[in-house]
Amino acid sequence: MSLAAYQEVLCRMVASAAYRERFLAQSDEFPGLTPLELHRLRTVAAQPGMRVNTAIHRANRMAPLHQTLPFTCFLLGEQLRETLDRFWGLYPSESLQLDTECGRFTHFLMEELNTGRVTGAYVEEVLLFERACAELRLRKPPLLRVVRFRHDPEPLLAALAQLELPDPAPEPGDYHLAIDCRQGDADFYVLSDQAAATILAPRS
Amino acid sequence: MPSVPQPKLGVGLLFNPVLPEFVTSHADAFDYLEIIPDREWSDRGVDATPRYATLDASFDLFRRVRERKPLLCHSIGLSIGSAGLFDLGHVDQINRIQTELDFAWHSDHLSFARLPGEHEMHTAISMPVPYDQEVLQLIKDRVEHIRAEVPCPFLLENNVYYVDAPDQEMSEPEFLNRLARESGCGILLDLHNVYVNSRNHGFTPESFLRDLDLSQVVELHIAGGDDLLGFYTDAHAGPVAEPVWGLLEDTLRAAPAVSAVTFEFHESSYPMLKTEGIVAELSHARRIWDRYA
Ligand SMILES: [Fe+2]
Repeated sequence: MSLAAYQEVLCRMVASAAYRERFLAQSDEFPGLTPLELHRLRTVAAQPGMRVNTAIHRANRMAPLHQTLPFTCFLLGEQLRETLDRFWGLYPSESLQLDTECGRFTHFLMEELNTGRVTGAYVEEVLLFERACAELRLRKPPLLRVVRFRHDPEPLLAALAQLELPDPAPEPGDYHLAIDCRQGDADFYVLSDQAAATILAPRS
Repeated sequence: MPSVPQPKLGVGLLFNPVLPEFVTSHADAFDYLEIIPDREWSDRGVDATPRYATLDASFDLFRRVRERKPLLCHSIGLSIGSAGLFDLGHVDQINRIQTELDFAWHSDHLSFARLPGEHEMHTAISMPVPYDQEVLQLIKDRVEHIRAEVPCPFLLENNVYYVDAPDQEMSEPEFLNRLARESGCGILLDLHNVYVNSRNHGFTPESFLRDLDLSQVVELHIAGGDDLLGFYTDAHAGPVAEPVWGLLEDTLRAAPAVSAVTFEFHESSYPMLKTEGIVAELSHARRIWDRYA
């Protein structure tokens, strides 16, 4: 399985400049490679094109997140790059399937928000809203979702649709936005407290 | 391949998420539609049942297009060159959608991007395989399986590479020629990929085309690129790169059996291209196609 070992080292070098440096410094310690494969890997690790591979790898990993969570990425602003670095450090390789990657990133970002490493007034509610929309596009049940907002979702989402921050700031409060795909296309409406309580009540 | 001549399809378009409207409103602008099936399903993983969830809206559109025009399937997820992984479930899934959408042929890339393991890895960029006898045999066996499984022709596309491994046993055209002749797969020749590699690795695209057995080429891809870190990349950015038009002329002149020319662009460059830009690229390709096909 020497070809498999060769491919694994090559892929890890693409994903991480630090791994590449380590390989160049200590390539004799990488097991399972033939002398020819070692020679090839040492050569390509030192070629400037490897940096292009890494840049494309990163851009391609970012694309599905941008596609499914555009408002969240916008709200993260300058925190996005460092957040992605930490995310990619935890998951050195991606699932190219949008749903899996988006689910992983949502989970990761929720933890970052809980620990305070990522901050932002609207990030959590918008993240959960976009994740629900992404799942509903795949028609994952339940087809009626309720997302809790701590700010009036209507002006907030209207501003984000223009990739702008809402100005003035939306009214704080406890809002429940329904995304209803039971009839096909998504229907969005803000629920009364009573309706939200009914939908959210646990079923026996 | 092509032992059986393929039907002449003409000039087509690679589908992407900004195109549903265009596909409906500008149906006269393209002769066939090529789809990337992997972008139209969610893969829950090899152990999940059912493994794939297809996007209803896209497949509804494809079924409507198929009533009037041929469809081609251009997958990105097989990773046929992965040493320790051959995804039979992916081949099955291609076969399932082939049954439904009746593709004229299907294709994937001569490269690898996936690594096996408990948590399968994906490089998010397609990497070149070494052009060695060992790899040729590996891929030939897999092509044989695919051809037995999916009842329409199968093509493999030449890859882009930014690093160049030394001491490979074959050149890229030599490898492609042998693969096509010995396995029966056709060649999907991406002219922009040839142009990208020629710029980054200092050879002329003409020499590559001279070395390639053009009688094995069934389909051509044309596209544009972008500069990055001192390299020229296959970014599918906007219009077709100017030199690629010349390569298209040369190739169609030398390879009259080519059946289709597909324009590829990335959806992020739609604001630059717009509807008029897409129509202009397709019309340009059609003028050249009409001259030689
Ligand atoms: Fe291509």
